[in-house]
Amino acid sequence: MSERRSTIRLRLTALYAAAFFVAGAILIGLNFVYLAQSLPHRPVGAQGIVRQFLEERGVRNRPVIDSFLGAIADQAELERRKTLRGMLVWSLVSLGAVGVAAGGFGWLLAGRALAPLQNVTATARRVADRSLHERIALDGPDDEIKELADTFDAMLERLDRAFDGQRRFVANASHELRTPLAINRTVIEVALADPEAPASTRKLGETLLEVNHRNERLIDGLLVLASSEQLIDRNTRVDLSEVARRAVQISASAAQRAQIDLRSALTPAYVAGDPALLERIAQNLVDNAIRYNVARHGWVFVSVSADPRTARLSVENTGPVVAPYQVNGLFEPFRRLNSERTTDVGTSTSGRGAGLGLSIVRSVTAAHGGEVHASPRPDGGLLVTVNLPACQ
Amino acid sequence: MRVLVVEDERLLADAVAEGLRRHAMAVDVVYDGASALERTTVNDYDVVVLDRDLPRVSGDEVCRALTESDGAARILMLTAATAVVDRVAGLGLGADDYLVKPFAFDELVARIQALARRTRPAAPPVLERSGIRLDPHQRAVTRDGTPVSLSRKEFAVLTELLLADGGFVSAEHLLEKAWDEHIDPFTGVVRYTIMMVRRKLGDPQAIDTEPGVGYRLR
Repeated sequence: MSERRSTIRLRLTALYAAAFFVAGAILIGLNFVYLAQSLPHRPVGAQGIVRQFLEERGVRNRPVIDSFLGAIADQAELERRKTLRGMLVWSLVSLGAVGVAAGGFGWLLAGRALAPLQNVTATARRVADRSLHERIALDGPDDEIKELADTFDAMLERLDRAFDGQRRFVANASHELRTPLAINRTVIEVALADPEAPASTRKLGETLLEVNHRNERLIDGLLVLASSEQLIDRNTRVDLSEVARRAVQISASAAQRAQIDLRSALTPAYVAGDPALLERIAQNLVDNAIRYNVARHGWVFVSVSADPRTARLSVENTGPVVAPYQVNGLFEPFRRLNSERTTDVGTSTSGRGAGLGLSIVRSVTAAHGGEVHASPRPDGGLLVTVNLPACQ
Repeated sequence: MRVLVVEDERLLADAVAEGLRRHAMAVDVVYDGASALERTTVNDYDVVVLDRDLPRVSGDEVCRALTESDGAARILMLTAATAVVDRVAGLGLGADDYLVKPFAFDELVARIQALARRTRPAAPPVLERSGIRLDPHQRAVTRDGTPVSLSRKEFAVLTELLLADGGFVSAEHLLEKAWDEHIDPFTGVVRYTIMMVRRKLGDPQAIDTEPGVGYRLR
């Protein structure tokens, strides 16, 4: 960033110095022309005085007088040329020296003028990294830079209100969407708990509960997706390997039921972010890897590693062949890989995910300043890698 | 055990009440905060199941009022607001427990029973005296190993007798704890129920009657 600032400063100074030089050159040129004009080639005045002097003494029209006058004229011409050349050289040298000094001053002045701009940029970056509630609130002369800062503040205000509106919408939607699901669930559970309920009612109740549960998960996923697209609220130091370990533990029984070998290689890797969301994406990736796997002898490999700048979580699994052009589409909400060979973990309706898993992963990763890549494995399955900026 | 359910969604409130009654609890239902405040001043509840989002007076207000009035009722907050900040805020208002909707009904029952145990002094999960064992969670009673089958009201009455641990329990107290508000206060139902409990528990007689004072377990 400082290189960019020096470029503008440099440009301003160069421009200023160039203008100074041009103005100086024009000034010298004009002075030169005037001087050249006013210094006579032939000192008519001096010659006239000599002639008059000699005439008053009765000396006139002698060749020695003419050669005398000619010598005076030559000397005057010589002096004239010397004067003009001296003036030119002296002017140019002075212009050079003063020009350099002016350039130096220009550099300092440009720096001072650009300082508020740097202030604006620093505040803007801080705001962009953290929260939208800060404002630049520049005080100083009412000039273009203040106008820039004020315009930026106005934009921040609009963004802040928009995000606030979205947050409140998510909160309200959460409440509104959950209530009918809660009613369904409780009414059905209470009805099922009745020891005298007939078998048909019991079966109906169980089916309805499953469908309801699927809706619960869908709405849950949607709300996570919506809220993760905003700025992260919590910034705690999270160890990705712990997150992955928990996800593996939770999915262990599902993997066992699907006869899938769940392996992991986890080394500590620290990132700054929201622990709940990070756990969510780890869980989504592992669940997907188990769900979209082969019927037998499948495996899932979870690994966490870190280098000084990046923390990496990758989940690799065997599974149906994925064409390269399908990979990007998997990250779209509600998109699932269409294949008859997916294994269904659990019962029919509860086995199918809501189709939001990978889109949540992408959204949360982006909100944490990272990126996620998926690449198909040559003999089927997927390798998904999440890269997040490491923190100490 | 007497429970007050405060929830503005009628379907949900009524379903919860019905489910709880099957677990031998006496349940009153109200659909707004003002009625809840009114009801708690009149009756003595063990647990109040409180929704946060209520008309007229909000659940938060009710919770605050109940905690300040220093009543014995335990408060279980029920709500669709799932964020951690909301849960923390709810517990901070004085709620004793917090359950997020949608919830598993069995979990609600277990938590209510756990809260009801925390009277002063705290009651154990399984009540026992003179060979009579009562498990509120399993809804089962045994005497010296033999199971005893009791109706819901009988179960509730026996629970109160066991909680008193040999102390006298008045008929009014039994009415308060084992019956909900839809009861005629001049009824002889308490006496009838005690008689049924005595009969089912069999010999030797476990329940003493002291006229004008109440009933107790030996």
